[in-house]
Amino acid sequence: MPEIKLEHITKRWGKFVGVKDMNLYIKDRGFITLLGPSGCGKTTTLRMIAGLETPTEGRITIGDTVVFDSVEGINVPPAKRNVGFLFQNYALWPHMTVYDNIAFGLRNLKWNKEDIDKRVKELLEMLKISQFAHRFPNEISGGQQQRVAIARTLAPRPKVLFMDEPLSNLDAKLRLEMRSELKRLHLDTNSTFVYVTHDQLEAMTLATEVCLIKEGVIQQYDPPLKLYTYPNNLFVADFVGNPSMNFVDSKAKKLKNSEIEVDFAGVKTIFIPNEPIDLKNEDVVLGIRPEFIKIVDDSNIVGKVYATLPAGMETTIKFKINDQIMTSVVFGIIDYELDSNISIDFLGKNICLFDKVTGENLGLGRLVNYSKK
Amino acid sequence: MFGIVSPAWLVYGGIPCAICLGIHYAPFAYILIGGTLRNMDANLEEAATILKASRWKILRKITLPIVRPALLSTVLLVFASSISSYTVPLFLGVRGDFWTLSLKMKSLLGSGQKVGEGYVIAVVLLLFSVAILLVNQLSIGKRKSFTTISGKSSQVTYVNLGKAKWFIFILTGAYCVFFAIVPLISFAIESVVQESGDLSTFTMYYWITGEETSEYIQGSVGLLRNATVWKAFLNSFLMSAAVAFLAGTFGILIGYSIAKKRKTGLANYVSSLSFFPYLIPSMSFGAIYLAVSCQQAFSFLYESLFLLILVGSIKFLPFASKSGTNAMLQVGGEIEEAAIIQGIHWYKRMTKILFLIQKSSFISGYLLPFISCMRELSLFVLIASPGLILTAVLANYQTYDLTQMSNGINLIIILMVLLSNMIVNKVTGASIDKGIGGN
Repeated sequence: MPEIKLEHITKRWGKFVGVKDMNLYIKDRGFITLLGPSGCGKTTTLRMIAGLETPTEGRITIGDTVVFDSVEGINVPPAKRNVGFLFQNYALWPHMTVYDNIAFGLRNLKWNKEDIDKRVKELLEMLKISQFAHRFPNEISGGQQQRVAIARTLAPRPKVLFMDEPLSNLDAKLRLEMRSELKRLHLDTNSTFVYVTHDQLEAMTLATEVCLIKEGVIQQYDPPLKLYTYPNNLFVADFVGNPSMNFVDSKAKKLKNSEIEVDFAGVKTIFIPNEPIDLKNEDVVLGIRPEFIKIVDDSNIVGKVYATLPAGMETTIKFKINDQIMTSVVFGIIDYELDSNISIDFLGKNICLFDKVTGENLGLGRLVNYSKK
Repeated sequence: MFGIVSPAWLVYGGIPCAICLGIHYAPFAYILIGGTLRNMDANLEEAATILKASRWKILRKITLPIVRPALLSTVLLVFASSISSYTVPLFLGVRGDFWTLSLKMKSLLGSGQKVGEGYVIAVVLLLFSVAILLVNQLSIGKRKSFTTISGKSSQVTYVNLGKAKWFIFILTGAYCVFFAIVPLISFAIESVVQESGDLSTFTMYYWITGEETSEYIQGSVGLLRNATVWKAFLNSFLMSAAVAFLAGTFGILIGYSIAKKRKTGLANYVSSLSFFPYLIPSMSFGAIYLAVSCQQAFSFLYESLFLLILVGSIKFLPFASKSGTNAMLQVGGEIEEAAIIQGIHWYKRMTKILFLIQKSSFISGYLLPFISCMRELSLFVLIASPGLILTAVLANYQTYDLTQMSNGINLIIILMVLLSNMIVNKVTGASIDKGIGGN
């Protein structure tokens, strides 16, 4: 069964290191996304697994076969790795019709004519592009080209499917639509998907596991919701979630019962960790998701509304406490007057405490108002 | 020379003409087809690799069909250029009794009696080119026409040639040495020896003598003292500079207007019109202007440098306008609009913004006509008197079989071209191949 294993994979171009000693295990029938800012090495990683790029060091295994090993000198060519690859710009062959584009791979595998015809028609049907079968790629729209590319990739029924930002050339509405179709496709085809994107929302919504990469190094490899609630470090916390997490620089002081006093922007609060925390520095960063900041009728913490972004379903409010700008999200149809005062409170047990020096997440906990305690 | 005696059929006649023209047009093909290949997205081939197509199959089914339009136009254009070529058959064909249409035309037009027949040949050549152009247009069917430049990520992947690397390296290396360096050296040597190929007869006679080297040509003294040669050299230089200036500037302006109105019918029309002079055979082109300058009303043009400049700047406009258009299309409209909003004058926008952004392309737009003009003979042979420009002087000496003198002049021309290319290259970083869409 096609599980994929990367062991100590490194890719260098001269002195530049693209991917650094990467270890990654992709389980069978998973849908994993490689996420990260542009230039972080995610596409390179994907191309190395597919065999389009040769790693400098390491070992890659697909299923039971070692497809690459720098020590043993194994390098199976991409054609023999039994994988499908969906390119960002679709890479449809401009001189072939939609039908021929899809059929090309099957003819290559020496399928007989009827089988090819049956399979191509099935795919055209499935992706709702039957009426374009005899058009050339430049005669159909971007969304349709996208579907043709998917059909072409799926045609030989690959057990592993690689996708390199396949939705980034589509408009926002179409992208949303294609997302749910891809998720459905994953279920229907029963294969392993590896998906590259720089869009955190796409990564979160599609994947069973998200692999967040920064400068060629994996930062966190977890299911999306774990990534969201328990980010390993400041980079992950900042990258995932929109609007992004509030980061508040503060000074920490250990109290009794593992409680920690944290002061920020002139506000005194107490952080009650869910599990005891080992505090190494007094410089810490509080990480508070916008939805964990509640606007209440009355509290000791008062802020001034800086800007509001009402979107209908929810309103994003930026407010200032002294000089610290923070973001909160309020659900429902609501708006606040600029420069008016609001009282806030902190919700839930999922507020993060980061070490400012290492950026490491020390633990989750509650944040309570000092004076209320 | 080098103790190798080539058989006569390999030196004069049809076969050497073909070989020579083939080599001459190879860089042209390289630029046209290479440009397309370079613009081709590597993903297109990778997609086929993933689908288990073999390398040979990818080449046959993917790569070749995609570059086919470029390949076909190259073949047709080279064919069109070769059929009307004059210079090569003049040097290699005549003595092998290999007469081409263009040679015949020149001798007829020069004969004084059968001028009409000469013009008929000019028209025939012209029709040939038009026919080829039509074939070209038809073969690039509308539906299958496609651009190879696609979207954002154009991955560059290098093919590992393996052991073939050395073979290809040696082959191309030998090619360069044999066709670029050897001729240069042999021109140099041939101009300083009495007997062809015999180094013991070394002499600087043909470079410095004050005697007439030929009884047929007046003032045919040593090259370095030869007033005709120096005057022709100066004329050639002036003419080329003027042609380059005119063609280059108009090329930029044409490029600008095409880019401004991109995708409108008018822009396409202007674009193809500006390319038209390229397709007219040089000889026919010359004949047209010869006919014009023979008219009473335009007699002041007859055999004048001005006529040459006029003809040259029209003939070489296509190169310049092509590079101008490419360069302008690359600059997004917003860049200029940003300047318009700030109220910057058109002239300033051109010189301070657009020109500077695409400096190297534009300069190659100037350089290309200059170099083509320096070495051009067939275009001017009908309308220039034998002493007017350097290539005409060369042809004259060649006609009277003065090997050393003509080799010397040839050397001067080649060095001049290389030198000017090098200077511009060093100073501006522009190069010729950038201009013709090969960037």
